Amino acid sequence: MLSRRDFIKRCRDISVAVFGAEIFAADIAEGFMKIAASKRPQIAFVQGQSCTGCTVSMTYGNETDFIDFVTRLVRVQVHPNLSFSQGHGYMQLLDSVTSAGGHVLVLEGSIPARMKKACLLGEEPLYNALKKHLEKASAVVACGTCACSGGIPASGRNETGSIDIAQYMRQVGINKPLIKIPGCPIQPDRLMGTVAYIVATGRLPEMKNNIPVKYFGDLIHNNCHRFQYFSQDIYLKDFNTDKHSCLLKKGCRGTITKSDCPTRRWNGGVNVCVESNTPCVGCVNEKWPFKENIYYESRNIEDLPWNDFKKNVLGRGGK
Amino acid sequence: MSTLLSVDPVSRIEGHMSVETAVEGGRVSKVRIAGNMYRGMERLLFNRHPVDSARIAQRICGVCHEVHGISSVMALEQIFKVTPPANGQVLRDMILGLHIVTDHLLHFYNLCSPDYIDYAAAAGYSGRDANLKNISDWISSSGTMFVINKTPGDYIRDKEVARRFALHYFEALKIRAEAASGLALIGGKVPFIHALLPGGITTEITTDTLMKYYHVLTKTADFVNNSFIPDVMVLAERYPEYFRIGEAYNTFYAHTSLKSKKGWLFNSGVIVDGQKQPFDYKKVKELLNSSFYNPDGSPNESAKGAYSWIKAPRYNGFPLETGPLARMAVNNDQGFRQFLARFGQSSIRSSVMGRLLARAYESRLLCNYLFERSEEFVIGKSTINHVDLQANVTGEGIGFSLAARGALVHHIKAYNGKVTDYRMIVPSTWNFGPTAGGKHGVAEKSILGTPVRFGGESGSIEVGRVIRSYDPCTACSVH
Ligand code: SF4
Ligand code: SF4
Repeated sequence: MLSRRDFIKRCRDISVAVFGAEIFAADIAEGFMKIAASKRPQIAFVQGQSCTGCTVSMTYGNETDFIDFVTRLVRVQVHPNLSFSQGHGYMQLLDSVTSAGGHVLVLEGSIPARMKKACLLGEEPLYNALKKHLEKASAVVACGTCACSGGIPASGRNETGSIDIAQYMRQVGINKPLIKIPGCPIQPDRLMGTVAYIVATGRLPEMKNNIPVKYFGDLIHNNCHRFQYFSQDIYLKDFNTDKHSCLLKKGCRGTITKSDCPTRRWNGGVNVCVESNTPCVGCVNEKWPFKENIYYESRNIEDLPWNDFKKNVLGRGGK
Repeated sequence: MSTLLSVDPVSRIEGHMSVETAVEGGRVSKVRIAGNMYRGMERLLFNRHPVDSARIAQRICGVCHEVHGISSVMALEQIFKVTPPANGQVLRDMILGLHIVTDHLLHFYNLCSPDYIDYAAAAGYSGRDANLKNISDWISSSGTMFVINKTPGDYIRDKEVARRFALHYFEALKIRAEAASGLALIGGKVPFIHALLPGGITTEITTDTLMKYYHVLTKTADFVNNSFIPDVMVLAERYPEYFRIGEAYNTFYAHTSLKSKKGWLFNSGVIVDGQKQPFDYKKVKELLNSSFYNPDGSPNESAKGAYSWIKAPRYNGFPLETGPLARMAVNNDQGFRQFLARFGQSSIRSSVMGRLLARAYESRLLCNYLFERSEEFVIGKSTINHVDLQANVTGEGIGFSLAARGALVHHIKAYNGKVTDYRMIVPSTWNFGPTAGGKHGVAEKSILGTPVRFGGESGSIEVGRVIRSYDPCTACSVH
């Protein structure tokens, strides 16, 4: 962990890295310094139909360090994978935080609305139990594609009637500021950075459809290192012999998926899917995991079936 | 007179699990373990293109995030009739091995150690170590509640030990993040590498990639040798009774995995009644009597007699324990036996402490293996063989592999480019399956008879320790 001076410097770095503008730096550093430890915002973390991948991704960090986040910025009050308490004692802590209110509720995973026993929180179905933990929250963060748009549990036949948090809040009649951080899993900066921003400035970030523009403003395609290949119609055919060309004809979803993956990158900035020579599968896309095949071997790009792709890209770049 | 005690939910594990026990005469006399979350991972793959399972089945679990992708791809390769080039296999092993070590670290420090260490005892430090000072201040004054432990128990309250563990609690998180970057170099990103496709690994691997991987591997290995192993030994010395607590059937199960020039690192086999026999997949059956399913496998939340979403796998009728301890038992690993002998244990038996020690010992084994295995990568040679990703394949494939938590199977049937049947048999299903066919599941069996000295409204810490010694992964177990 860091000294106080390092910490202020780190705040600057975070704000530059996370928000791309130094102007936030002062706000953020000042915001953090103003907040006494005991007044840091309280996070209550709840898991629905999830795989815990989003939590694990958060602990890996990127620009934003998980340990700083937990020890310096927020108070993670309840987290199913971290909490030292178990059973009833654990549920008591959750109840005490959410009944006092003012907490930020982070939900990882989706909620089964039809087959309610398909996810329990303590002894109750999550569907019934979640409402009271949301009622007094100051904000709700949907962590990962499952929570944002149903994701994998809601795909296929969706036998459990899995829904996302916005649908849930509509069904139970709760209206709260909602911030969606899609991704399967979330990219850690996007979750921790957004929370840090809110903490530091007391404002919600600029959002479109509840999704922060800063992270999800532009198509992956538009910032992709392989865009030159795309614009010259050079497409990858064989993963073995070609390590550079555009992956569109293999089914790359960079053309229909908005996120800053190409510039933000992953795991300490060491790599990102397309750079490892594999198509973007569109895991931040609200349609993830898609009805269509994930991979393609198309001869003509017109054969690729996504409508938004036809609208956004076809006829403007390559053929 | 028996008292009912439940741990609901079990925290510090992956997923949604609860345990109900009845305690009589200071010991657990009845037990039921339930998995409480279902997504239908196998059924939602139905009718999709088989290759999609490389991405979707991968997301069965985000903790053991690379193992399912690999097992699924191994099954796909049988359907596509392709094998990866030698380099592709090396890369996969490099991913699998390092990933499993990081999984073990997460388990020991972040999930399991609070069962034994009273971290509150680390507070009040006023010495020179700035790191420790920060942690100690944070514990005492930040008002962070996740570190509050409301479960009474016989924790280690020695300040020195608590502080050492507190430092390592955070260091383990850092090491894991670094190791993750090593995996991402090869796979694109983690959790869930996307460079993994049937046929091999898509990434272009340079000397630079290998050097960076080697660097994080070295750091991880140092942490395993200098912290992890000594820390587990602290627990083994302090809690010798846990060599007798948490004993299941002493049946064990493992697959051959992780090859190098020296041969397989782990052997395959099943131990029942003290006899080792070759593993025969045909003898595996999943019983549904106590689980929320109809006989055809479709989910049914009001199925009669059901109490868990986890199915009950049986091998010739026997529940099998799987995991690092099972791998040691099936291998009859001499190094591990010597390690056990230090604590007066003459044989490899199912127990809480046995499982904890096996995990640490295996981590060292894996690091040593990875140093050798990564040398087998030949720069400039192919890492992937071509596969038509949209081929209308028909066939069947079974990927026998391993996860941190034990032996893993993905079984795919495809017809004309569509999945017709997807079956996963996952380590935590073996360990946490319910009572069926007249037999308790493995973890259930090991909880029976557990001495309960500290029962309370949060359930007993002793039961918590037994459960967590398996490193349960509920999302996997149910899927
Ligand atoms: S969004 Fe993806 S990574 Fe996150 S919980 Fe859902 S399946 Fe797991
Ligand atoms: S289609 Fe994919 S690989 Fe090609 S330029 Fe766009 S994002 Fe990059």
